[in-house]
Amino acid sequence: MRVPNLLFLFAILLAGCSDESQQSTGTTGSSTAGESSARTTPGGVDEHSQQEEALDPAVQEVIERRLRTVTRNPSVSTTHRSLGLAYQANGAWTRAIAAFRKTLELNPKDHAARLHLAVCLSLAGGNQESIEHLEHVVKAQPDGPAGLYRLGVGYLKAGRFSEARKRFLAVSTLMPDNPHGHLGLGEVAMENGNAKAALVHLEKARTTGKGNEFVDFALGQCLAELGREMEAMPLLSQGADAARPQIGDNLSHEMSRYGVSRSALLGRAADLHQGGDPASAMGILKRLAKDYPEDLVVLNNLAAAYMALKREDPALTTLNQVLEIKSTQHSAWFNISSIHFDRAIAVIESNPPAAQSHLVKALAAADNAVRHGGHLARMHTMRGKVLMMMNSRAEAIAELGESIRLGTNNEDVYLNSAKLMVATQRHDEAFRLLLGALQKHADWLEVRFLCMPFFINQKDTINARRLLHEITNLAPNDKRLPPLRALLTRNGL
Amino acid sequence: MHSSQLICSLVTVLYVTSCSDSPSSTPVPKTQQIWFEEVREASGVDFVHSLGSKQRFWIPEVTGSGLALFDADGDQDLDMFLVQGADLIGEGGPASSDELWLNHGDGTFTNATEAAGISESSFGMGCAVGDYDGDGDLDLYVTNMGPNVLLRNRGDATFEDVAKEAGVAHKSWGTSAAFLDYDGDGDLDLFVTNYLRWNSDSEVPCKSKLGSPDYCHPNNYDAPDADALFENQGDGTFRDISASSGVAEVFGNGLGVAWGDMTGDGLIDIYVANDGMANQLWVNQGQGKFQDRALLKGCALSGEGKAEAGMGVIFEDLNGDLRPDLFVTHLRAETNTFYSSGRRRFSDDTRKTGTAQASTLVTGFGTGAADFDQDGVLDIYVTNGRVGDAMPRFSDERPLAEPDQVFVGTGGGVFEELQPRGGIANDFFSVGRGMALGDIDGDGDIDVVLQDNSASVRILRNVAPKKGSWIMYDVRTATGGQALGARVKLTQGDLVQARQVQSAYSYCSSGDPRVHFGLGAGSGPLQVEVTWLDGTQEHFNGLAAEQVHQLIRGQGQ
Repeated sequence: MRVPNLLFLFAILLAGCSDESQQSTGTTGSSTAGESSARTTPGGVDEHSQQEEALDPAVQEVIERRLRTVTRNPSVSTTHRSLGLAYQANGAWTRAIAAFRKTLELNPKDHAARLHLAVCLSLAGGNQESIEHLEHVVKAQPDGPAGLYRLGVGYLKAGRFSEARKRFLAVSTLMPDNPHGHLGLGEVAMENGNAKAALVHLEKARTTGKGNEFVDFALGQCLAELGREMEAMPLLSQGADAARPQIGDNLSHEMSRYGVSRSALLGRAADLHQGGDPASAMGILKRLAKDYPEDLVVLNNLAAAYMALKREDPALTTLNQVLEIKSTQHSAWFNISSIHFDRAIAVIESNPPAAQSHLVKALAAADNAVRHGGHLARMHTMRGKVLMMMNSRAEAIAELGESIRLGTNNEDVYLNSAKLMVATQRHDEAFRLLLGALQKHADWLEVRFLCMPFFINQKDTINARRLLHEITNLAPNDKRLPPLRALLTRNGL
Repeated sequence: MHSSQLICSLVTVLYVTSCSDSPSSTPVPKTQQIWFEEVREASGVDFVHSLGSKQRFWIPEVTGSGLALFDADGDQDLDMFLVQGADLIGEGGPASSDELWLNHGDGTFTNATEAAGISESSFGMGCAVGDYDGDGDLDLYVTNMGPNVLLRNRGDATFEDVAKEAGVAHKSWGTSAAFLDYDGDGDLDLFVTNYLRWNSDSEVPCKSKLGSPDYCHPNNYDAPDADALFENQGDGTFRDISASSGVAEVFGNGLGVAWGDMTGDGLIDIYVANDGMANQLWVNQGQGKFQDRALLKGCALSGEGKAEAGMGVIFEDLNGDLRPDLFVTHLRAETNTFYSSGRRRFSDDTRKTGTAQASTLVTGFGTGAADFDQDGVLDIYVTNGRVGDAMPRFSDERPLAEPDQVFVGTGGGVFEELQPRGGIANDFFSVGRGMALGDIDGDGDIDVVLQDNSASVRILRNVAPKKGSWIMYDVRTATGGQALGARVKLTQGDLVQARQVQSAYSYCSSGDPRVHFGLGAGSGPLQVEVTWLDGTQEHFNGLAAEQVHQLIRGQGQ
């Protein structure tokens, strides 16, 4: 019954946000990841300001190790390359650029270093120079997909679409079972105003890169352009703020070892959590929480990891820490409410008084969640659920209604709301609510099941049969189907 | 479509397609010209934007303020209303007021604040201008941290605050606002963009990457607000229809607003630029209902699906296809985004415009489109200024200051950045926020006025070398009011241009709604087609260039 929390999305959002946005995470002031940590002047990348680029202590430690190696082996190009990778992994683009330049000075044929120099230049706002280096890489390694793909993206961003197309075509030939080349070809076709051609490529990209939300967004745009709005909308919604897929190169693994900045670690923890390994995420976050004891993003994510591991007591402690720092953190209130709600459910039959006590705590926390996060549907959902369990039906209907008004995508909210309405003899309202849900969400099964009795009651053969057809399409093997068919037959429908 | 238009559109398409490789493969020489000179001192305007004496690194400090250029006293020139900041918790002595400066007709001004009865000293954000009560003079709506005010013009450039009586003393943190007749009933309704549900208790300490105290990103507060829509009831009062219209259903960190028919259905839609969140396109469903369709219509996010830090907005035909496009200014490291209007939706065509790289260097706020050099193609002015410290700085004295930018239209939606940056001879760094366009000295070209956060207002006289003549239209309804929302199409030979009569664009500001066209090398008679809000059309032909003409509904053909 726990409402899934979204705190890890929050972490990802902040870890990948822009330079000035990064200050927002900066109760620690140390974020370094993200595209826009760029330090640029009107003329391009400024390397003279690099001494002013602050590094957090954990990064400094990694860097110092690499610097010591460089000091011992100043003429070995790979030491500079590793230093560059360490800077790059933590978002210190300008220092990384300097290190990669030094690498190339010592070994102009280090194409891997040149590729990374190009990546950093692009991130620091020097797209033109980035393209020149990538052209060099591709000339030397014409079959290297990472270079080709990066060059294609560079051309795409520079508006050089025909050149971009050529590189994406090469990638799609080299890696036909990966989404990258197809995605790029689709993007170029869209830029050229040819949505029909784009659709072919983007559908291929989606087939080969299942689950990639960036691809979903691109396909959503294409479908919207073709007027297929119903199909486009869910893809556009879930693809927002997704990161462009990249092709790893032979230095990617080494680079990932150096990523120790706050934002790099937050990102890694988020990946682990989402990948089903909250225990490893928790380990990283506990270390981060030691270094940044007042960092709300870190603490919120740590609490989320505890919750995923069912460690409710440390989760509550962490959430209370959050609230001590900032009492208006609605996410923390939400999670506290969720924990108490779950505890209530667990003992509701065996120990009703204890359950009631948990529900009172859950409601108090949900009140605060709504007070401070009233713009979010899920806050109202939480409060509505608690009220429902406390048998405050009218209030629960109103609260769930608020969640619906704010555009919740949670089918349970509609179901619970409709059931409460039926229980309070508000049948017409329940029916209208369910009809609205049917129209908005073609993939909701339970709402369809719940709607059926209304059609049967009204002897509405056409809609009952249509609904049965939809249910059959959505869940052909659902065990409730045969009795439902029998019920319809019995009622002459 | 007229055949010449068709050819023009095809040329545009071919140009964009075939020349798409040019921006990088063959560097184009930058436009090198002085287009503006600062004339604030000569103008007599000594307004200094102020935040009080203490900098606390609270987010409101970096958001204000705006201004309006409008004819307050009915003498046919542009007066200036400048919105003032304040100390956020009332420390540091008496707060300064917003100010009204009356134009002598030649670009010099007299401070008329006291005489006008204006003593509005809240922490001011923005303003909107319109004749909401239909009495023939222009009124002001001022957004604040706290209750907004409605300054009713008594007809003699004196004002009284009637916000409470009119039902628009809205208490949120208002930013940009717009008067618009969304329901086509002939009176002006009001849309108010709100930023955050903020108070001093909700502040959190943030630091720059250099470790010094700095301003937080709005998402740190996670307290976006809903915007507000007020329906004019025709009797000088408004009804808050935010909830019933649907506008209150979606929350956002709203900063910029523009409006017009953005879906081609003849109804007025509203676009809101949000800071760090998806933008909203409130599509008018009729019957006082709106739906946010920005995501589907392609203008909620960047083309790569990223929510950007939307600040200022332009809604105007920027690529010459006669369909108005959207241009939204953003944070440093994001591009200013060009949403080109297509048959079904907008698409992010920033990469094609040539503005992407330059706009990632600075943080854009106020913006507006005008044909500054009168070559028949719209240019774009963007005033810039950071919201947080970062290296390298343009100015150590003012860490947030940045140069402004002018993007010179070269046709077909392609622009080149004017050099020296901002088209001004000397280094010109400001913390640009509100900006409005208008011909303040009456010489027929478009000048720029901008608010520099915590500094003197900047008044930039247009001195651009002109490539053609000009004409300006003051478009009026049958009853003499400004015909906001009407569309004007001007044809001279092969040159076809379209504009909307509008004052609400940019950031927290209101510009002159008179429609100015540069005529470039065009020759031949000028044919003007006005499409009124209800879709009916009227023609006003044969009017002479180099003049301002009033186009009154019912007096054309």
